[in-house]
Amino acid sequence: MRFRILREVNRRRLIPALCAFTMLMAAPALLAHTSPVSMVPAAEASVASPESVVIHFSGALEPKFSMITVTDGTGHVMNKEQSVVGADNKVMTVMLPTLSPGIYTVHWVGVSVDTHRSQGDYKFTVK
Amino acid sequence: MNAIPTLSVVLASLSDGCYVLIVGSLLADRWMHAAWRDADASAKSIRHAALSRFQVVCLGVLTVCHFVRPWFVAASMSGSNGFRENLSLIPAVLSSTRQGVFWYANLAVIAILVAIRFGSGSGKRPFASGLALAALFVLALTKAASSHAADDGDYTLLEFSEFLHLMATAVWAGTILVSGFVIVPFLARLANPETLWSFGGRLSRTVTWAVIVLVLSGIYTSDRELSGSLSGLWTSAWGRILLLKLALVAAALCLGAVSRFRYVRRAATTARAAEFAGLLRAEATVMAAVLCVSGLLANTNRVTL
Repeated sequence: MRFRILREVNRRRLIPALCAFTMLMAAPALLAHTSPVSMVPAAEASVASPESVVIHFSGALEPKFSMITVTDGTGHVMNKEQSVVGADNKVMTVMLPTLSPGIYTVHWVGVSVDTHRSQGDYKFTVK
Repeated sequence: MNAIPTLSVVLASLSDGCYVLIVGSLLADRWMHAAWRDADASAKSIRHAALSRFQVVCLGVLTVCHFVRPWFVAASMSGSNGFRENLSLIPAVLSSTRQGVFWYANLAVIAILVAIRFGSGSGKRPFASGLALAALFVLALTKAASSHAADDGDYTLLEFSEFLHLMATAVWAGTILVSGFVIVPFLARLANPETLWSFGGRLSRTVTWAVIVLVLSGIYTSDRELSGSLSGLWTSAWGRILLLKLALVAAALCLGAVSRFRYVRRAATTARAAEFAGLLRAEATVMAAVLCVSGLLANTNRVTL
């Protein structure tokens, strides 16, 4: 009798069970942290002194808690103004003064609308 | 060791659990009211009073979680563990972030729920529970709008899909938990089998629709969000938690299928009523485990697949 029940369950619930798998696969996608998808200047790029650093993120940012800072080889912060988040909340920009040749580090913090915080660093070189 | 992420998981799970239980108890109360027309008034009022107390406790916990939450949001956004530092950031969180806007909206919803709970007489119960369910719908809407689903902006299909997903989860898990642990054992003991079957039929039909909505919203979201390899499922902690959740949901679906096809669709007897109550209790236990694992999953970093 137990096997008959199992057969009945398997037959009648196969499709919902497969769909449940899809459903479960979907749910965690809603929990992802936002992260950079492109940066200008790019990581490890060698460029003339850039006017700004622009980072495009994968998801919407919380402007109040997200930021970019640019430091030189000695750790001095080069940007005079704070970074700003664009109207679509996915692009963050920080304006820079004219930079002398050298290696610079961009430190970014991205806080997504679902409160998760991610951060990272990358370097670029000014020729 | 940093305990804040763990406490944040506990808080979120507690809050979500109470939300789910309130939705489930409101629906179960309505079904019991409809199914148990011939019961004597004293037995009915005892059960309604027990459900009311249950809702008050859940609402109380939900309210406490709501007031504690801004500190944890500040901690998550700032990356700091300092109590005072995060406390000082709360005004900025509430005034300048999306979470803050919806915190105020949710506060209004909770106030409405409290007013309904303590302000409605027994004669207005169906209307009051309908209004409370509408308020809980709004709570799900704000939850979806402050989740990652809102990344592409508001009023998107992805955000709507997330809202449906949350509501369907609350209906499915909430009704199973409340029915399995509170209502059905009571009905199996005191009511006739036909009453239990009437309640079981309503439960079964609603859960079926909730699962359909879960599936459709899940398929849409997965189509939007997922791509690439599935190897992260078994090579990361996140993936393994997800697989555990999958196994538990499959178990709950199987138990639900047995309840529906082996019991509710057959003639009601006293022996079957007792077996049905036991089966539903098992399903509710699995569902409680699903909610715990979901809370853990929701606060585990997703791997990039």
